[in-house]
Amino acid sequence: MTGKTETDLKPCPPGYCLDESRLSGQAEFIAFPENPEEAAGVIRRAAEEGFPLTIQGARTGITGGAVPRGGLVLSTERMNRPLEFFRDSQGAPVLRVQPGMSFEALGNHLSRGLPVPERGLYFPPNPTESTATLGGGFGCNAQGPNSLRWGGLGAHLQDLTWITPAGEIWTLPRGRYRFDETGCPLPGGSRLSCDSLLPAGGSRFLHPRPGLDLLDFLAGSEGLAGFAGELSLTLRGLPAAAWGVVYFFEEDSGALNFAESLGQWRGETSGGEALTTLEYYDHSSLDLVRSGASRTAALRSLPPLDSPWKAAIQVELEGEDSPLLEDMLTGHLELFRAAGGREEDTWAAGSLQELEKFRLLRHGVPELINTELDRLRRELPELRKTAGDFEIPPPLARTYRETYRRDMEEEGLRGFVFGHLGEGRLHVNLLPRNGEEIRRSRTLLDRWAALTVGDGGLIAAENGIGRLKGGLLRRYGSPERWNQIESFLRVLDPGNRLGGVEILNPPENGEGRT
Amino acid sequence: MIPYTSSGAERLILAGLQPGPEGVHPISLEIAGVARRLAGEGGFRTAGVFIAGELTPAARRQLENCGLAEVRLYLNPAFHPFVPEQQAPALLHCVGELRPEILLLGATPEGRSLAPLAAVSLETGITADCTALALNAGGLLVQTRPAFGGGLMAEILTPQARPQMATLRYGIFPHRAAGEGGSTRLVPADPGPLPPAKTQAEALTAPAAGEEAPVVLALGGGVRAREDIEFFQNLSRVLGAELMSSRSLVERGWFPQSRQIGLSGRCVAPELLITLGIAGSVQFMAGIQGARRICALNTDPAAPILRIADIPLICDLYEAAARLCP
Amino acid sequence: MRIGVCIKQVPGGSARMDGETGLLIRGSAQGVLNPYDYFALEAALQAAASLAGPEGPGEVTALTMGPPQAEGALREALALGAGKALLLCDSGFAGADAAITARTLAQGWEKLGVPELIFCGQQTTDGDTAQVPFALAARLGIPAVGWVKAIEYFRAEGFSVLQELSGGTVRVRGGYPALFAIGREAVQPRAASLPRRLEARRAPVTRWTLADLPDPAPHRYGLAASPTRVKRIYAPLGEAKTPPLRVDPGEAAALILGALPGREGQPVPPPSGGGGPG
Repeated sequence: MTGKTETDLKPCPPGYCLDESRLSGQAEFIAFPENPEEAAGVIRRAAEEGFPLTIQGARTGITGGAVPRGGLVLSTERMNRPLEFFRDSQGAPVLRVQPGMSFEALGNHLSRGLPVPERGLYFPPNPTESTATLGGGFGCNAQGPNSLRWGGLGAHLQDLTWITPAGEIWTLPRGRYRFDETGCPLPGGSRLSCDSLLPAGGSRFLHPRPGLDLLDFLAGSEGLAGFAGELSLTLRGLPAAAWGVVYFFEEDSGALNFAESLGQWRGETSGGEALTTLEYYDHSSLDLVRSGASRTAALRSLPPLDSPWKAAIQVELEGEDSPLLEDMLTGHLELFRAAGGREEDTWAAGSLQELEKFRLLRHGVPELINTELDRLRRELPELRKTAGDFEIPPPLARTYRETYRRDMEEEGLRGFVFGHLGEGRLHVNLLPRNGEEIRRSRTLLDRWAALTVGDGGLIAAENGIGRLKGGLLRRYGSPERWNQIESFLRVLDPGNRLGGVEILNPPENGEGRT
Repeated sequence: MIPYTSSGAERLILAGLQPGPEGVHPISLEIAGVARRLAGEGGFRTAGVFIAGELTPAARRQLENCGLAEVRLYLNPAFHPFVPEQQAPALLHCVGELRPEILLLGATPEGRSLAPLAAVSLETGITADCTALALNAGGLLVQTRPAFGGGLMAEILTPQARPQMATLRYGIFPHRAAGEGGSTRLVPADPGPLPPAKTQAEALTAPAAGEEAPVVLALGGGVRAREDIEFFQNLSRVLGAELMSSRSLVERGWFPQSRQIGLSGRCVAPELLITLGIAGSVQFMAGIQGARRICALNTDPAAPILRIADIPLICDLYEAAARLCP
Repeated sequence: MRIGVCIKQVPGGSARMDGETGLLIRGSAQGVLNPYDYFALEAALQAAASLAGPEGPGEVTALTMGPPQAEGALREALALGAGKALLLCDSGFAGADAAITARTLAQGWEKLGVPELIFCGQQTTDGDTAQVPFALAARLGIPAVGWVKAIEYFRAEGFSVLQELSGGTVRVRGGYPALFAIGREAVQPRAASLPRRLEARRAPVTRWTLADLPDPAPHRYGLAASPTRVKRIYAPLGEAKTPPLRVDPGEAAALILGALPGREGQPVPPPSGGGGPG
């Protein structure tokens, strides 16, 4: 069987039945389409055979969105080519790519293969996992550390080729299809009717609002309402100047004070100089990196972390006016001193290449938590990633940080708090060591989820809901929003090929816990 | 400084040979092989120079059979452990006596330290880490090495200065057996009194005597997750292969640098090299020139490795691996 | 005690070159400090701290040869803790090979006063020859300790370091002056602090041209003086040896098994799991 047809199905190897969530599932078949037409063919084939369908990118997600539940896996692995480079009507550079292209491959392609202006082009969205695919990034509307400046991936698309669960191919240029108060027109003349004024109710998943582009509505739909078949990426020129600074503190409160005072510096200057990243690391996260650096080759290029630092704030800035950026940094340094920091307790990088080293810190913490998790799971097979991916209004960050710390202490649980403080997205990861601690961890995460929704925050802000967090919306979101999501999925996936409703609201006692 | 003019009548290639954990270091036999090949092509005489603390019976046997016309032996306890300033006078003495047109040394840490010291005294240049050597029509040594991080190859000449000096990348050039005739003359030589040592060296550990694996399985950027490495470890056991990787997986922190193949890692020369998900950067290719046969598997038909492989396969590495190691 | 570091600016991304002259075109990629030089600088700063007198650690001087943009590498060194920066910059230095680069750097050190300790990165990521430190030491007539993988101590009376040779690990002890070529395992480089990095942007960099050197004879520098010549640069891709085969996983597995030594030419047993779907 060397011949290749549109809907060539192969037995699914076990490697394609799991992802970074450490969940595993099973599937009978897998298909590797190479273009949207072949992909649509695979979907129609799944419908004919009655197979459940799971869309897969690089399986780097951490909530199990790519883990199959029987049936057929559609892998975008071979849809990994750059397609076309052009300038839009405003002269902005655009690269059209296939969804299976990784962020790493995109970066490599941009650094060599393009007719570029003098400083080179880049694609701002930057989830820290460079082997993730762009299609996967759209599926969870990836927001990396620099989303403080650049927002989610969806906002950087000019247009999108969307493959629906019914096997249709939609072309969605930005601006063509928009929501009003009562819904949104769809390609082909039909309409998605809804109340576009409902509050988010804990999740941005398929959350309409008047004026929202259909393209942005689909960003973050987690492969449950179709998937990206081709993406046109809006590129930007590399900034003339870029800085990365890590500020270390001997007191956690100093770090939070400093971050709050930096908040006042957030806005862009007229020349576009801006803070792009504002990250926080707590004591345990720093300890984890300290002990992991000796074992993990990649982390060895981090500078020494041997001082008794208890918290850190990491910022990145970029812009065109170098002296202006330096003035901003001098201002930051004053705020740092005022927050009790010592000048020598800083790491500073003044170029993109150099600040890349510090990004290892951001990437290292979740990596090392996963390593710890794997180690614990050898003793405790029922252990799953026990983490909250909450977004709270940034002014509440300090209160939440304190709540996490106090609750973990009271429950005697080991945990890590780090993440995008600037946008109120603090990741909290727990590492339970036995069955009893797993139970208590879940109770805590449930309590925090309820608290977050009560404060108008989000409970699956960045990493998606996937199979790991199904049930969360049903339990903590508003009933009206759940009904709305359910009705959207019924319209967008009438044959229920992708199983969105069951995944988002699994039967109790399943894996549908936080 | 030694006044230096090589006379056209006595054109000679001098092979710098160094001791190894057992007998001579294997690079020495590669160098002797290259020297003999070039001598045959260009009508040169050949000689070797062996600088060591002692001559073990194994080293004697290897030197007698290395195929060079003669080997000058500089033996002195002061030459072990290796200190470049101590050995340089011996090398320079030999060069002064034999006036070679061409001087080849191993691109081992020892050779790469000794060569520049000698070159400064001789006012000549060196091409480091050569991966190919040939003579051009004018009889000059064409020294080929990877350039600029391994993205390109450069051909380098030493038009005027003599000797033309090159260090040879280990593991790339074939061992050319010269038979067991023992035809090489071993000639003891003495550089005269050595300068007082400025540093003291003390050998702490010998390197593990490296057993070259007959089959090497190399993984590249096509491997998707760190967790998969365990699977490939099993696969390497099934195939009886040593598991190694390209630079990309070392950079991701999934493999230690000691397992990296390539210009900045190790050179391998197995009977069979199996590459999975390796594109084949020049920097990687620099490390596999000694492989007898290459079986390469990649999903990208344009991957450079597929051009040099004996068995180039376009296939998903995970699917193929799953069949090999169910 | 005076401490010096030799550094180099290397292309940050992939380097391009002039196919005609075989010379590196630096404008094509933003220059960065050679990654190995971070280790050399760190070793120098640690040595300065170990050898500190009552008035504190001695000053570390960074020296490089290069075009005007190479000042960037020196500012990086200043940000990390070097006290003084020196650029040897002259069109007459261009195109130098490893031997002549070492000669030019030696002239720079001689003009300044040769430090008791000189540190170099073991190699650069563009040239990759590892030759310059040894050639420089030979020019200066001081011992070179290469392939340093660990530092045991720097004391007033002498040093002790470990080096990794093909013959194994060697402990080297000695007095000063001495030159050290530092490998990537020897130390863990620090990061620049924010105030130092901001200051380094404005700090002065001394620039010397050919005329400033003890030996100002132009014919002993640059491309003209270099014993080696790049004759040709090429991309090493030829025609495929064998046309690549598009195969299914079962066939791939069978071909791999069949290629194992001792199995060549033998009939290949069907791999477990069957030859394919269906």
